[in-house]
Amino acid sequence: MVNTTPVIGRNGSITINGAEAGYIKGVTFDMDADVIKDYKFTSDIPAVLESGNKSFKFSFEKMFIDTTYAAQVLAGTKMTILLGPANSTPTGQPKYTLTNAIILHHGWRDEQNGVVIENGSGEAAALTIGTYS
Amino acid sequence: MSKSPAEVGKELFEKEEQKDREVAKKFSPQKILEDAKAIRVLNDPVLGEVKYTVLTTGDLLAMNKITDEWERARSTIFRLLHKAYPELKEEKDVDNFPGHVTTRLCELIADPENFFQIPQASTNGSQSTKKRKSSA
Repeated sequence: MVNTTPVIGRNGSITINGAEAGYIKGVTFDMDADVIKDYKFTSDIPAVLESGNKSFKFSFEKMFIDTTYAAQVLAGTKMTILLGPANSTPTGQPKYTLTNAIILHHGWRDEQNGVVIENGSGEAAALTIGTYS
Repeated sequence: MSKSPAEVGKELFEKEEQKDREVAKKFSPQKILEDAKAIRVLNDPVLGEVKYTVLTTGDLLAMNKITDEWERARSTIFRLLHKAYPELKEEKDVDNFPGHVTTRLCELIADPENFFQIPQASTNGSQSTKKRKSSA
């Protein structure tokens, strides 16, 4: 059976200090990790191969930030970005949370109730994959 | 009850996308004809601001009948410029251009990036060197 309801949406909400501050659309992740690799004598395969320091970059098509928070976000205030499924009853569905996210690259335009940032990118301190309860 | 910032943003983007879809999908001969009359500007480091209009199908048909390469170049220059510069009344007026100007115009014509670029659908605004000046 084909499930036509997307499990993970690429759209999500933005919160700052627990308060809803905006909306984000078209988010893609780009996670980097340093490689920890070492060899021992007499062997050409790694004796140690681990994932090291990580960075969680993301890019997005559009972000709307309410006027109240616009100046803070543009100045580098950290946000939490919550990405979830498209349906309205997400219990049991995967939940992606980018915490302490900052915007690194953006241009913006003013709208009546806030600012719109298009084709921007940023980096978060962590990406957590959980489940809606 | 006021909407949350997320709801406001979502509605705003949905409206913008709907508008984009409507604009992108509409074929309008009227708009195309108006666009063909619009005076455009090419900024050339040698000649400066060169105003022109796009060549129409009628222009291409007429030019196709000209077999001599130089006469066709002269006709092309005239057809590109005469709507923007009413003082150019006939093709022979181009004959009075200094040779280096005509040569430079021919160089510009030879590069399809200049006068003959097909407009691309873009969300990033117009190109920096070519801008619409006004409607004729």
